[in-house]
Amino acid sequence: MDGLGWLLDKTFRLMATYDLTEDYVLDELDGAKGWAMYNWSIANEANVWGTGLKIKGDGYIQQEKKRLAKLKN
Amino acid sequence: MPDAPIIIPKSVQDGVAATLAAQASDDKVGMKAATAALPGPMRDVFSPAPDIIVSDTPHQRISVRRFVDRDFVFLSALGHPLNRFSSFADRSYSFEPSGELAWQLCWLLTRPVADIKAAFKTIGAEGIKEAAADEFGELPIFGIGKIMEAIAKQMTIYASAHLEYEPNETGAEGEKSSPKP
Repeated sequence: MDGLGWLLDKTFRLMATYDLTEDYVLDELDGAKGWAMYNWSIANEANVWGTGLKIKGDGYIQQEKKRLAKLKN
Repeated sequence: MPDAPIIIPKSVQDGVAATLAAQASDDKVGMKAATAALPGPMRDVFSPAPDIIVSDTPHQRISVRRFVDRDFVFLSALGHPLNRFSSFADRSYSFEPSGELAWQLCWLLTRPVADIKAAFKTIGAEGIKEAAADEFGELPIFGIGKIMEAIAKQMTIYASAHLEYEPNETGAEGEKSSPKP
């Protein structure tokens, strides 16, 4: 992932899924929160053919579970 | 006939007591962890105080704001190496505590996006580079280092919310996906 192609994908997915304006996504929406919203939209886009993408590695909940386990030890 | 009393050897009693104590200790730590905000990327993402205050004196207030996606457009326009997402996400960009590239980052991340957009329109990319050098070039290296530290923290929060994906071979219920028409 490089250049600004990813930015195009992220921006327009957020605009389409959440009915946001381009300026809001680019200028006002916290970029990290934008990733969380982007990932939620991918996780919830299942159709009759299943989901198109799956997370490589740990998702947020898995990351939290692992960090909780570390805290306990 | 009454049941004969069960005699538990002392070694077993001690072992049980030790196990119960260890479990109680684990539960205590576990409960403490569970009552804290979830320790994952979302805790930082939904932080109620997203800006990092670096300096707050009567003469000077410097705060480093969160990255917004427009920052990548700004960084591209400035020809800054951090405009590449890969250098951002895998932290392959190494920070220098001083120098033009650091000053430009400081200039961008310590002011509102609307001001930056206005500056691009009025003074352009070269003007912004000069403004960054004027504002931050004279700061002692310790001061720049503190701001860069805050920027690195904001970068980490931004990158930690990003997830990688790969094509899904199975459907929602585990069945083999059919090719889309």
